[in-house]
Amino acid sequence: METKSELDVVDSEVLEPEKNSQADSGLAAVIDKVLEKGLVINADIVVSVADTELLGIKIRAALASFETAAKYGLQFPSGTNIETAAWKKAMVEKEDCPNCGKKVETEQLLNKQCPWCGWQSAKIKQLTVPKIK
Amino acid sequence: MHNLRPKSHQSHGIKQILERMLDKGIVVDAKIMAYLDDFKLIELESITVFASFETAAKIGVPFPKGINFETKAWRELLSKETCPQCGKKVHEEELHLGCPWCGYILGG
Repeated sequence: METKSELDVVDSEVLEPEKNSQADSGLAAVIDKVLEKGLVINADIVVSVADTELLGIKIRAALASFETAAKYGLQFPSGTNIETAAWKKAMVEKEDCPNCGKKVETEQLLNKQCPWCGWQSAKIKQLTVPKIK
Repeated sequence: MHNLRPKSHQSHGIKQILERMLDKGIVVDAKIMAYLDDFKLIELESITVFASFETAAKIGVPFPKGINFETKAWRELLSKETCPQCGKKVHEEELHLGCPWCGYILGG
């Protein structure tokens, strides 16, 4: 595109997203993603010995990171203090910045800009188009 | 907008494969039988489902007890669509006006 604004250049060339460049397919990244999304495991198992049903096992398991578990209201062991500052922080909605991959509060990312790399959403760009030209 | 690459077009590492598998859901239906001289000794039947929270909620896989389904995250999970361009979760009405993340307009 010829009408590339200065912002676009900054977005695409100077800042290389750390997430895409190296740790994208490592084990850590896989575990990160799975725990972030949450995993549900459901199993019904029947063991029969000599045509008699001997043992039945039912598994209902949900596997998630603390943050995801808190977000989806999973139960925590009794005695967990959910009133701490860290929990309150975890409950605030966050999204990955499309440019640098950092976790940023959705509010700020969508309505202001990424505090790490300065990426701006299409919503903000739309509002400021007349100024940039 | 050209600098925002859609998630699905990125490298196909193990992360993408696993993510995709869990998003689609995996069902393992297995029956294992051990015979001794035509006599069925042991029979093992198992049906297992692996899925991400989102998929599990959509297809109605039972969750463990004690989950609070009234949280904002659950409501958004079922009401939001994935933007075809940037892969972010957005309300469908928003997509018609232009994705707030990447500016993609559905059907536009």
